[in-house]
Amino acid sequence: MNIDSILINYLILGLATVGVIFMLISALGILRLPDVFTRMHAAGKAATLGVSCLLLVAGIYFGALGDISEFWRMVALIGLFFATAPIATTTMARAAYRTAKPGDFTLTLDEMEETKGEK
Amino acid sequence: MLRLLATNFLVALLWPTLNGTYAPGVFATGFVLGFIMLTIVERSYGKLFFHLAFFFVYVLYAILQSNLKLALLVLRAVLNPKTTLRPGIVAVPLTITNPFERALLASVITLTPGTLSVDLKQKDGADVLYVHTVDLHDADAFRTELKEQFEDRILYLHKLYMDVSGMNETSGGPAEGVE
Repeated sequence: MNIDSILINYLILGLATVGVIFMLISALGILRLPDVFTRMHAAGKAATLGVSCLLLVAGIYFGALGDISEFWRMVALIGLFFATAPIATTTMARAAYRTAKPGDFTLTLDEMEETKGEK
Repeated sequence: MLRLLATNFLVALLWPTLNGTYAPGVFATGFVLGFIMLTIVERSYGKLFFHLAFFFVYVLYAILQSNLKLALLVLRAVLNPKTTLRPGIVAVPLTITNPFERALLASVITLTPGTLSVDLKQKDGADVLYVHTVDLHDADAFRTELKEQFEDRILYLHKLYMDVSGMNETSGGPAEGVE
């Protein structure tokens, strides 16, 4: 693991590119998709891969510079991100559904509709 | 289960003591040795760990695969405004009763792009997880696929965990492999 190694350099470049492309796709998705849920898919989802790729790249870069503990710190961050992100997403989706007015969503099938009045 | 895990850590701590060095690598070697020892004594312990690791890798694979699928879908919707997505909310009845495993299932579903768990409610006496999906073609096929993909695997892990614990635990699922 040395920063001068060509392999490491290409690995860093490649992963960073993948991460940035996924961030771009999720940004486009947020702009162009029709309703809250589909936008949340684009945001929360493409971001998981984008963010974890970028964090991993940061870890590999600083690890290759000589501080291997930096790499493990980034791995721990990815783990925490994966543990917390779905909880936030689910909470937001639930809030969005409960406070929605008719016609807010474009759904081809809504099996949740019958529970609408319940607490 | 906890007893075995504690024994494993004890061996992992003992190994550097016998070696005289306290580097993380030596600790890891001790942990692996303890794991092998315990697996020889208690076969189900090793089995549980291997299946947990397999489940973890499977979830990572599912996330990666559907991330690519979703990226294609989003790109298609962005480039061609005429394409219509077919989003829908599907009710998935749950077989899992353990709260931790339910949280795990809902989190894994949300982490997998293209599906998003919205709410957990009671319907006709059974608990139902409502899942939103971007591209829905057949609700029943989607239901069975989701159950086969994740719920059956979690149920199997629960069974293995019960094997290790000697079937005398009523609550508290496997604490490892939270991802």
